[in-house]
Amino acid sequence: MTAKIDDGAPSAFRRPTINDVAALSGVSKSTVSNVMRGTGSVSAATRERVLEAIAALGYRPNATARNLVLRRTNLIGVVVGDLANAFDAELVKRIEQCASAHEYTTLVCNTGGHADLEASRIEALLEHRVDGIALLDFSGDRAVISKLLGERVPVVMVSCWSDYADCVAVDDMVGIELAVRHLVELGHERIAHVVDPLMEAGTRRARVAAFERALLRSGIAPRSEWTLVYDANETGGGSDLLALVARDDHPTAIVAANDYTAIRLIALLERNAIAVPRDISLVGFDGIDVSALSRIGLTTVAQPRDDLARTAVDLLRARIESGYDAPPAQHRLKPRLVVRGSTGPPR
Amino acid sequence: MRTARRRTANAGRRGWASQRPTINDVAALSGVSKSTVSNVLRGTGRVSGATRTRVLEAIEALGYRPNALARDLVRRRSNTLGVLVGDLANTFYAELVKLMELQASDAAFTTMVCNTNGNFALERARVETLLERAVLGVVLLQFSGDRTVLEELRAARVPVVVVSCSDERADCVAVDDAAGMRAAVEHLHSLGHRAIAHVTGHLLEETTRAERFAGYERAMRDRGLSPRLLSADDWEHGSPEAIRSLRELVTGPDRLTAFAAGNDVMAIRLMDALEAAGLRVPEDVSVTGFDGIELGAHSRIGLTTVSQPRVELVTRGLELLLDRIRGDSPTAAPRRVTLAPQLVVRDSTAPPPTRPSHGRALGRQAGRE
Repeated sequence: MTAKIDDGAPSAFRRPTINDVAALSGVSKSTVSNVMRGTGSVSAATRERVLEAIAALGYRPNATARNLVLRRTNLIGVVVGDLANAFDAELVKRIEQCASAHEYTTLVCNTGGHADLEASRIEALLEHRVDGIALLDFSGDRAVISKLLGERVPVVMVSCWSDYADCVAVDDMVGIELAVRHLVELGHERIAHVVDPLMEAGTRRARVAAFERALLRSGIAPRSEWTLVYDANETGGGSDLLALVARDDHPTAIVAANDYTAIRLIALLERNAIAVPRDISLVGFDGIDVSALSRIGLTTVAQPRDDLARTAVDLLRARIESGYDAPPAQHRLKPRLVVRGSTGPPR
Repeated sequence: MRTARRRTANAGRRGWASQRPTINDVAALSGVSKSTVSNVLRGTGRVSGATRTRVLEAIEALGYRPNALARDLVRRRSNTLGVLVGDLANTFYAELVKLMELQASDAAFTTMVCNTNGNFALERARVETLLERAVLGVVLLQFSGDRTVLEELRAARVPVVVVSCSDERADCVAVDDAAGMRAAVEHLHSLGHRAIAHVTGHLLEETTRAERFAGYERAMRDRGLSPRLLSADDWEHGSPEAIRSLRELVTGPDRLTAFAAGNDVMAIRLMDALEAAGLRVPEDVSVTGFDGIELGAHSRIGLTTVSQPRVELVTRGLELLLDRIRGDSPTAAPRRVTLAPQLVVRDSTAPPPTRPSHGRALGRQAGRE
């Protein structure tokens, strides 16, 4: 038997099987199974013998086998854009904690925002027969959507939006409005908007629309050339932005897509002798721990991370455990403005 | 069409298995036996070219996906690696996990990530979960040193590699922590600092904590200086008393002029607490970190630190683990790969102040250099 193991592992690494337990305790496989599941009638003496054999061999019932029978894996796939972005990492940490409190294990995949990586990681998760998938970033790739729909795997979008699945995110419109109103109250009229290329297209459109609406509401005409894409991970990026702020009628404030981008922007601007907030005020989005450091002092629109994680896991559990099959619902949580040192009146 | 599909996006969960095409469907559609389909899928047995084509067409038409669970069960293995991390909120570990996931995925492995918060009980529970899931190997990015965890893994015959911290009972890849701390102390000493404290905390894994402290202590004693150990946990929440006592360490009789922290996150939080206490970094006090996280390089932070080679840690760690998994050297003694850390000097360190308030401490030490 050992010679036939096709996993390439040597016999020393072979795990004991139910057959080994049966052989050592001198009973049938089904008796061992009955002992383990507490089913059937097994004499106390036999039970004892089987349990001793289990202990002696270090036999561990295979979750895979059990899951195959139950048609459940208790696995949740978590697809994340960039673990180096503290917001993503902090959210993954919380989701893992909530999931494991309900006996789920998480499979974490990092996509770097690449649609092809996203598709292949989701494929891998489907092969693992995950019970559900939490997408923390989503490219919006239609092929991926149709694959997920076809597989009928419960999906929850966390902190991003899609019509095709349950979503839980802060209300972007309210968040952007909070940021813009804060800047307008400080006296800013020339406000630019910097978006993150990792942001899913739908979310990005919603944010841009929200930004323009917020400006209009304050009586300011939006200028499309003042909405810029800045890739915080790209070295030497941000030339568009630097060109914009070098103009005479440059913006006096920037609303950034997220804290990670905003914190990178502080470094980029200050490297180019533009002081924050003296020359330019900056507002982030997310409320990561780092934004609260006094040296960073980022004014930001904070997301309720604990609520996001808990709601996401609850939504998945409802679909997985009770077969809840209502159409996808969108859960909007309230963001909160946290004012710190990166914003001030325009010069 | 779209609305109809959309409505069923999450629907019909109860019967997902029955809704997915099975090997039986493929067999029926292509008019061959199940075992022929299986032979085609695994490239085994003798199958004619025409049959093969018919089966592949049926697979394509039905969108049949061989069940990884069933396959794993047959092979008694998964293609999954477990990764245990102490604190994902520390970007050093988040970046290691990110690299690990990328490289493992290139080698066709999926990673299961578990966060332990540096908690013994959680660590054991997560390892147990990973074992139940029949992972092929386990990467411990932070390890409490708990013996039962290693024994469990050994009893289950699951290879393990410890990355970025050390344990002599398992394969490990880590930087020379002691050498790293020595480099930090040497740097501070050469700037003129003598009253240098080491700062550590509970989120730093125990053996790492011990080795970094040992390196610091040795470096201090070698220079005839007395070591001083502080806990970062004390001012983690920034209470007014904690901030006051931190100030006291610098302005009071201790007259500390430098802090060599056990990692970057603690160093950056310490800088924040020092500044909240009305002290300037580096004018009044110098601070060094350990790890080399991205935030430390930010112009507003400018943290002098001992940097770890992250990519190499992950590459070498995965090498050791895959080596064991593939069974090339399953019974060999634990192997240890030690990498060299690198001192990166930025703006958080400077010579100690020469203000009168620090004059006494300096005067005592001036004769030594």
